[in-house]
Amino acid sequence: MTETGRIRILIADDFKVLRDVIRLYLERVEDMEVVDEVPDLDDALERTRSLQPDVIVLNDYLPPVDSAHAAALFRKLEIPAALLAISMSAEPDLIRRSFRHGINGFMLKEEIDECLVEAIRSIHRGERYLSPRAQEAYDGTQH
Amino acid sequence: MTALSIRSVLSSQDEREPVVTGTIYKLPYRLHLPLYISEALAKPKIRVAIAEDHAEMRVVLRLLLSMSPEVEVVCESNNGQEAIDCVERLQPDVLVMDIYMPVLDGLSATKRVISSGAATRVLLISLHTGNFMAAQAAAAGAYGLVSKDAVAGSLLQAIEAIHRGQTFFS
Repeated sequence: MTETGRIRILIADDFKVLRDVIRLYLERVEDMEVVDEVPDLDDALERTRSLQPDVIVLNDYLPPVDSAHAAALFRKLEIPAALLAISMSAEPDLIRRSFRHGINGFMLKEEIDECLVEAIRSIHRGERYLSPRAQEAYDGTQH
Repeated sequence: MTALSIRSVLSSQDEREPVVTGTIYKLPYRLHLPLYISEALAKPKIRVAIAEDHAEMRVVLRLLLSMSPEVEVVCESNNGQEAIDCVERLQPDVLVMDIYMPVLDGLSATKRVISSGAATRVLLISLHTGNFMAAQAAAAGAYGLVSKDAVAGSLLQAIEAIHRGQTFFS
């Protein structure tokens, strides 16, 4: 967090237009600040080292790895940022593996408008976050 | 009784209630309008339909449009034919439509919207813009063309301009 109390966020997604719009969206939220946005894992690691964001919002596929591999790498490097994966499809196996390897939150991109701000605040407080539709998809495979 | 009710209106401290000021017989007045009246007087929203076959791009467009209090998304479609059905059914003010789509492409769908006589104005979006594509879009009857790469900075501006009757080719 900055001295102003804002949550510092890095956006990592290979779809530039989505990064742009998420940035616009979060810039309107009083307690949040987007420190940068990057298209792939290498840039995400480099910007994380230099900017030390509180939260990283990352695509479920961050070239060249998926969110589970990315999380494992971030945790191996002892990067303390909270990690929120955003996905077009709630694939239960990826959700499970991502949490196992250190993701703090998982949500669908369809839910950004309703859930993104809540998800970021939640994982920044140290909680785990699974969005309603990701939860629904995950529960559907547990029966 | 009247004097009391006027005093209570004037003393309203609710900042959400807009204030109307003016003069009557050279005497200034200042009135806080109740919310239900201000909502009725508010400018109607621009009713927008989206036609885009790429699901992630639809997420982008929906999120972007949700940021504007002046815009309301009334319909989403995956191709040009569905977009035409949407225009016939809901008569949106503006149709934001991708050019390259399956079943019926955006240029053909624009021509069909125009020939149907609908008042809906079409704003095309595409990865490929430039003079040639802008000329194609204009010839089809579109009011504008915006590059997909530039939607974050231009889409809302383009929708508002087109709704005012202007063209917008970025």
